[in-house]
Amino acid sequence: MVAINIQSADDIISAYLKYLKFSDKQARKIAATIKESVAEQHDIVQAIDNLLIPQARAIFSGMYLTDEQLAALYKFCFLQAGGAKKWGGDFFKQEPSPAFAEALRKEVMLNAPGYQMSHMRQQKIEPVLRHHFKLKFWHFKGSKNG
Amino acid sequence: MDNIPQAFAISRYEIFKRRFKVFGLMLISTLLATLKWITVLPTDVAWFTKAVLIVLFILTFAWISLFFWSSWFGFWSLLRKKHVPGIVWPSKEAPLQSRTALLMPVYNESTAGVMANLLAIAKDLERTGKEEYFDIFILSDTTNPKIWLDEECLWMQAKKIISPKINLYYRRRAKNTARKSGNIEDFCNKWGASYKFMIILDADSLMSGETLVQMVRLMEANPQTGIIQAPPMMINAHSLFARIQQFAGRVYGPIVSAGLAYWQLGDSNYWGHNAIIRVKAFIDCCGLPVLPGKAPFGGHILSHDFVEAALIRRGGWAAWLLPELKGSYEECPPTMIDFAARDRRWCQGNLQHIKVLLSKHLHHVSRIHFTIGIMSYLSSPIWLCFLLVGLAIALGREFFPPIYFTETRTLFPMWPVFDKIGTIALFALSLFMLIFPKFLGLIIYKINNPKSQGALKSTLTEIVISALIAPIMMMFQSKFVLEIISGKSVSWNTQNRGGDGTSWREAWNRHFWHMTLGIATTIIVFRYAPELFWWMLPITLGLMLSIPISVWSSRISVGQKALKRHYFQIPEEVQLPEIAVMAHEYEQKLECVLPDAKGVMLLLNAPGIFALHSFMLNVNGPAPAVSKDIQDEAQIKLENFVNHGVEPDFSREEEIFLLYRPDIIQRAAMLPLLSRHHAAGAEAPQQ
Repeated sequence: MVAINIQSADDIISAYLKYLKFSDKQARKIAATIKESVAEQHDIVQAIDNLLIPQARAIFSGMYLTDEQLAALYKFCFLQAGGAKKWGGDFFKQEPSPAFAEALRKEVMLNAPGYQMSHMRQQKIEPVLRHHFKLKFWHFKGSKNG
Repeated sequence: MDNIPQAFAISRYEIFKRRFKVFGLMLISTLLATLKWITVLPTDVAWFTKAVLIVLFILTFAWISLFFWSSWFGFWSLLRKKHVPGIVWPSKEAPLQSRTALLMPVYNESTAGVMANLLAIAKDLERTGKEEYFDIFILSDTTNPKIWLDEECLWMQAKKIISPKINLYYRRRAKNTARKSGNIEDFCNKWGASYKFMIILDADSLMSGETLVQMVRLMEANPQTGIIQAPPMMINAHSLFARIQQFAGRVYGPIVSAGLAYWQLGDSNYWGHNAIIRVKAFIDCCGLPVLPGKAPFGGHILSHDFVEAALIRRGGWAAWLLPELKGSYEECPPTMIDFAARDRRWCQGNLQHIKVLLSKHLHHVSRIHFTIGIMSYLSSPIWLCFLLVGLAIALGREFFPPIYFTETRTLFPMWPVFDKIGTIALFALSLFMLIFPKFLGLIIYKINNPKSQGALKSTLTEIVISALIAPIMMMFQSKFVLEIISGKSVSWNTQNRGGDGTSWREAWNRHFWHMTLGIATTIIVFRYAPELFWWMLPITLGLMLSIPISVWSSRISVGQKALKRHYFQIPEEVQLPEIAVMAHEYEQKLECVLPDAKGVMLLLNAPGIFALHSFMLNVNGPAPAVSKDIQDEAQIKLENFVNHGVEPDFSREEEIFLLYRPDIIQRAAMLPLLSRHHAAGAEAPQQ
């Protein structure tokens, strides 16, 4: 795993948020509010991602996605909607505002619809003559031995 | 099994009559020519050599004879402007009732070109007002990590441009089992049940909205139809070689297609793209087996299209080739070498059909399709053998003069008889059968395009150039057949669709042995069999000039000079189809938005694309297994880049591994944003 050399949890949270286009000031402010809940975690980045899951699930309620996908979709929609500037304060809110949720839902890009499973059975491609030849071969062998 | 579907509005007698005419005439003309051939064979040749010459003659003559008679009936069909009988043609106002998926399987293709074509198709569909009945799937088998990221990036851009009524989906397979056929099968297994029809496209396919809607209407009006193939017309050619192919396709293609449709009717073939398929029929009948044995003859079926058409027909569904369907386009390989590279893949795929040809319960017309495909490539070594045997006989005379008086005493000497006039007559007949259909095609072309310029001179020039190219292709294909028979398989390479041209060095490497063979044969023939010199010259000349022909014909500048003088000009060059214009415009737009950073570097710099990529990973299937060494090396290179600015030279496996690990990428992307990143010490705790 790529080593992140750090001195504090603040540092990681800020970097995480700055990567999502939050300003330095915004990032520090938000970091202070969520620091407690993630600082003791073994994997801070994963812990921040986990913080996003409840509101992501609330916003994209009709979609059956894994937690990783939900976090990724949430971040994608947030970035596409210009989230840091417009909705910076709502990023970690447990109950997202309807306007924020709507703005994010507008940005959803589905790369594939839900599965409708079928099964393509392998077809048989049998030579017409093989069986016939085999019989003849065995017959010939049999008579020779006999 | 001869289960003609009920929906065929044509009697069995009519079907039989059409096939009897084409194949009867082929057999009669081959029989007559063979009888003549037997009389013109030199009398002093051993019976075995004679037998070989007769068999080779029958095979080559039957081949050109089938082409001739099929084209002849195609010509008359087009002249009478009749629809292919047996299929119900719905009204152009008939409402659509079914959902159709447009499938674009891609494999390391030019991303902007593919997306541009899809956007143009979608835009044209929008004009029909029926766009809500169509969804588009990009089914990626791309293995190049940089192209993979480009695809995701441009898919995102295309989603912003495309009509909101058309769903544009993107799915990449982690493991491209069974290549293109496996890609389509994966779609059918996961999403096929949601759609009644699917239209298969190729990376260079363009189909007008009207044609797509018409194809769906045809499928709805003919419930027993499994496949409808729209013959694609070549466009967008720039090099001389591609423009000649394009012209030949435009002028002679229609009578060839109409000829095939004349006798194939509802037992037609499928060419792998620009065709609509009934999904249920495909799912029920077309699960391709892995052929027993090793590649090149065993393993996954390469040329899956012929086999799928045969299986769908075996399942009782009809397959139609409908030359009436216009607005279906494709592109041509830009150079002779690219054309040969494509031929190498097709050659292996078609020869693999030898294993399928005698499979149980196939319709007899499906067996004919396989035979035609196999013969397209076997005809080259057969022709080569024919020439070699003829040459050997002539040289034999030089080294072993004829014996006029045998040991047995006779009253008359044994004069070797050679019927020169008969031979010339047969040669002229063969030439006529090869060339005359081209003029039939020209007549139809001129009737439909009375204002076209330079068609006659282009046809005459095309005949000369194709005669020069034919022996080169014969040598290429003979080599391919030999390689395949000796067990050498082909790898899956992306088809070159650009027009960079062939360099002299590349041409020298590829054609050196053609040229050497041409020169050697010319010298030998001139020295030892001078009576054959002029006969052999059309063949040896092409071989001797193979290098300059290959280079010269690959040049866009030469192609454009020819266009200025109206050589090989087709109506679509005078006025490019609107859908092609749109595709060009979209391509330019998309190329501008394509980021400079590629692969992992793109993800480090573009959080939006990174988030999208992470979100889409699940649909790709599980990450491919990678060795520990590759994993470590990839992470070291990434760390060296983010910590010390060392430009990473990821191998393909390393980069693919990283693309499947968003957790690593995210941490690497965050590193430069850490406030104390540069001050971080080695002893600091690691996250």
